[in-house]
Amino acid sequence: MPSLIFGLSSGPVCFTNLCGLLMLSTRTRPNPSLPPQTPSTVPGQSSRTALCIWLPTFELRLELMRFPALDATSVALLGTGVGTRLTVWQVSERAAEAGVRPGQLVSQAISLCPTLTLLESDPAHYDAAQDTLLEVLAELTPVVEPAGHGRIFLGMDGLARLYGSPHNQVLRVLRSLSRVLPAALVAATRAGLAPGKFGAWVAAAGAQPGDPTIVPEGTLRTFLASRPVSVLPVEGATLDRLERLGVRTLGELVRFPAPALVGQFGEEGGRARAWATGERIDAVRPWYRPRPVRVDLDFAVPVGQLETLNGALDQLLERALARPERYGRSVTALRVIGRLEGSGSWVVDAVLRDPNASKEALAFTLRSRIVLSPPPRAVETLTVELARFGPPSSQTVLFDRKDSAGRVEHGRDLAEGTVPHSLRNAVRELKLRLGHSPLYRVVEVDPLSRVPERRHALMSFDP
Amino acid sequence: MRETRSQKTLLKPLGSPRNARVVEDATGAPVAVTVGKRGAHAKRVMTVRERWRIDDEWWRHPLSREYLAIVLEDGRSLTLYLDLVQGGWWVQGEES
Repeated sequence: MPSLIFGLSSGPVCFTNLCGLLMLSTRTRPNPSLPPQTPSTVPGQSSRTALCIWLPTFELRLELMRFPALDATSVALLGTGVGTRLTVWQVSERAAEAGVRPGQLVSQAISLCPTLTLLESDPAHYDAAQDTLLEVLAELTPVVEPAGHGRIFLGMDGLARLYGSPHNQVLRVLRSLSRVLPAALVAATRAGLAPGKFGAWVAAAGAQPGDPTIVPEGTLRTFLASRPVSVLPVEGATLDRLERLGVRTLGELVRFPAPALVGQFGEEGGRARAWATGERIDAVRPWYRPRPVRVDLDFAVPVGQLETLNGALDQLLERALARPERYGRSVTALRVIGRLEGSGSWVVDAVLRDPNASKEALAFTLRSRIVLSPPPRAVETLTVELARFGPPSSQTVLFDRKDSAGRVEHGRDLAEGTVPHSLRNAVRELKLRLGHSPLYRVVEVDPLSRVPERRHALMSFDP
Repeated sequence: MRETRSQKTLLKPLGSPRNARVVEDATGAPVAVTVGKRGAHAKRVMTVRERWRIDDEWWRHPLSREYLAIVLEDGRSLTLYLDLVQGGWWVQGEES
């Protein structure tokens, strides 16, 4: 996720890409060519007052917790992307001073800073740390919504009677982080409290570490007025045009009437104005995370060969699909996690186009991803996690059962497409009685279509 | 007449969405759903089991749906979607 790459301290923070992530939690990956998604609509308790907790360069800070000796040196965390050209993901303050920037090739970074220490990323460790944070914060408020590693929105409605003033509420949250994070990391955490997620994020991004920004209800518009337009979660082209037109702050933006902005920028212009004026408030919504089904396998000897890993993958999928908590549910997303020899981890995520519960289909998808992104070193422990579930899968299984479909005649299997004699007689009798055949055959029209009603159709069955 | 009907009924889409009447809360989340004939009673939404979104055919007729797999107060599971282009709620799957 290169858009989340920032230096630890130097340089201005670019708000745009992070704000783009405010549109959260849909299964499909956001497509930059599509308009921003509408807020998700999940029933349940949502909260208008939002607290944004943000720990910049979360992953690099976690690595420095593991290797404290590197704290005062030039360190860069390598990216996890697919491809052979390694790039820098996050950089420490010293590395940034030497000119190392996120997104640079490793060769460029080393030429700029020969003493640079490179660290491989450990996605499983970051996920675990994020989960721990979420668990701790969920003890304070039931409305917790993660927005990427190191950035979490909390719903704060109704907490005044428990924790007191907004300032005390924020301090209480920051204190609770001390249970799982060292003091240095808690001190580096930025916090912003405001109505809606947009306001809270802008407040947190502009806050100094350890000094939370609190925007009281009714002052959001005034608070936002001095902020740059780059904080808006809109397309980069829109921001470029706004800046070319001399519109630099949100206060300057709201001087334009809504029809003029919509005329220039389409719906996005209207949305931008609604955010800038504080009219649009995105409530914090409770995070829904289905409990994953997880199975793992320890190798006696670390395994580096893909063939062996694929065999282990088949075993793990079989075990995961056989788990009682999976019964009756199809899988829509799954993940393979490998604990690497020495240290570090390797993660492959797969989101299925259609829900599926077939071991072969799931294995095929995972293998395709693993070929593109193989483990960098031998794997000590392999874990398969069924992360998300779809509609029940029992119907598919029923239709796949040919043995009970009467397709055996005189002890022989009927050829594909042959209609059993008994069925032909039944249809003939029904036609005599009703005048037409009331039976239909299910035919595939576009089985891979994402639109359910286009996948299959009923065709008159009149053999 | 019957023969004509038989000949014309060649292909019927399977799983066509049906219109649903949905009561939403202030945030647009469904809190009660009525499916079926006029006069049917609205049922409260007890939980959302899963949700996902599809966006397709942006090059032709944009199609954008937010799906919700919900459980009603009578125990029925429904798959609902909100048409994000045309508006309106639709039911596209039901289990008793």
